[in-house]
Amino acid sequence: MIELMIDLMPIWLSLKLAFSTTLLLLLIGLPMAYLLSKWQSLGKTLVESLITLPIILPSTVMGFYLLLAFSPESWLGNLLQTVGISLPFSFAGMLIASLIYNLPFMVQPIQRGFEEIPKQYWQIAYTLGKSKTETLFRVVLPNMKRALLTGVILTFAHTIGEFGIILMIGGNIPGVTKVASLAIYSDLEAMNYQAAHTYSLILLITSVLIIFLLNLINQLKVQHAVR
Amino acid sequence: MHHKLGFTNRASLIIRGFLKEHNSRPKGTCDQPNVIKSNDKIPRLGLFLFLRLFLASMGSRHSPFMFFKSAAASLRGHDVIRCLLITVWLVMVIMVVGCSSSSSNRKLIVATAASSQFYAMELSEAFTAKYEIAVDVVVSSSGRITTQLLNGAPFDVFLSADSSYTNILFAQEITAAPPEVFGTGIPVIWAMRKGVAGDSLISLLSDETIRHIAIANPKNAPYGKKALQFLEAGQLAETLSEKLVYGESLAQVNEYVLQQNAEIGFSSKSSMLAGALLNHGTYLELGSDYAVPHSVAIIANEKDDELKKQFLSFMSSEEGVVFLEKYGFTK
Repeated sequence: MIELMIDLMPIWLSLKLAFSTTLLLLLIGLPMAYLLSKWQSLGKTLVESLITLPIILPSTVMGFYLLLAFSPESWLGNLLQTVGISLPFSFAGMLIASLIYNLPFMVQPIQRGFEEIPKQYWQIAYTLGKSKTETLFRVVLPNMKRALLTGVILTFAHTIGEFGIILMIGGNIPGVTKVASLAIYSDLEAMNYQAAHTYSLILLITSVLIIFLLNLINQLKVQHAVR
Repeated sequence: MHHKLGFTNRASLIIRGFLKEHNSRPKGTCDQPNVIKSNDKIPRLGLFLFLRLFLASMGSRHSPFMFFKSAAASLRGHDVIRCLLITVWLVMVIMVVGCSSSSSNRKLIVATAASSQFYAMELSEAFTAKYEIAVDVVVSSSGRITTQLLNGAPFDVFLSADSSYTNILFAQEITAAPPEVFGTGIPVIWAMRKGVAGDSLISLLSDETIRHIAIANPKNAPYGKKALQFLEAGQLAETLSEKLVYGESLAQVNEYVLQQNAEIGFSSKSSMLAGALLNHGTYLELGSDYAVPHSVAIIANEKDDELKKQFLSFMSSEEGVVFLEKYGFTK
């Protein structure tokens, strides 16, 4: 029997973070992408640029600024403190950081997806007596599955691999914020190469498996549609 | 046949087909007969079960979540997988909400600079074994730990390799008492090359077969700072400056030297005595002029101060000092 010399908690935390980030970001990103695709003005360009911002800043720097924003010294942190929420060094703080950091990875592909759906799809569905919601869920979204999937996979994979921002805002606390990427780094720093290899391997296999499954589902659906 | 149709017509056909296939409640102009394929039944059962579960979890069938209800009803999917995925998502979210960390009062979080990590790990294990108080060790750089502490990190004890950081924390009233030096670390110069005596390592620095000299970043790593001072004292800093490669931490420097990407490097005695590097290569201790004092500080927070003091007194107890010696620190 192979004995695992490592604690599996970081892997679980990583998966938990990636799943919750992806789900929440899908819920946030979908309406955002929709509005952006409909909007035609200077404001749109500005918002689009703002959404891209998290990619520009190095993630450790981004983490530092979020840490400043969440700290009890700042007005935001102070406000949260009075409601009894403390974000730094907690899973919730890490989740919020991850949501901000992954925003472009979710919104941009979906926005392109919306933009690529011809206006006629909407119009025809309307002439057939369908409401806006129904058209969205049954005509538009099914026709942009690939864009949705791209957003989901990018966000998921990116969250799993996230490092700098999580290290800064999470504080690498075992069992709370020590996700797999941090565990690998810590083991490298401690020269526990064997443990680092094991973590990396498990992380790679699980992530590839999940992404493969997502792609597989997509493939099956495409075949289904062709038939 | 398809390509003869205009785009709008084609889109219309696609959408018509789609609606026909998926709509069991025709309304408006869409007066097509219901076509329900037999293989649609199983997924519908899945969706139905999922919806029932979802609504039941909301407490009432007539819950205010009408939006979700109508959205889910309009999905009318043809796959169990989708339902499964949504269920997994929901479970995950519930867990996120449910698993909010509960930090026990009988637990210490010790943040340590990377250069004292091996010492801190073993010390903490011994402490836990003796007092049955769990200790989590968080390893980072002294600078990063300080930034995090300034922003409310929940660490209880801080082992710093740079007393300027603990002094800042004391000035900001984040530590409960002035920092104390608990041990002195010794910088070393080391190489993996075979057949080299420790004493000849310094002369090896200027050897032309040496192409890279690894050193921790002097800006944020105290052992790097001392290494640079050592080179400057020997009038070597300028002549060797092109050979210097900078690691972000001692671990990175050790990695460079261990894999022989850098032929020689400056590190700490403590890491030479750690499991992964023990009996690897040759090292030479730099003189006491270059010693690095490590200090410890108790962080003021809502947790029990007695527990933190207990940890500190264990550090200086006979049992604790053993680990200090084991990892090459002098008291």
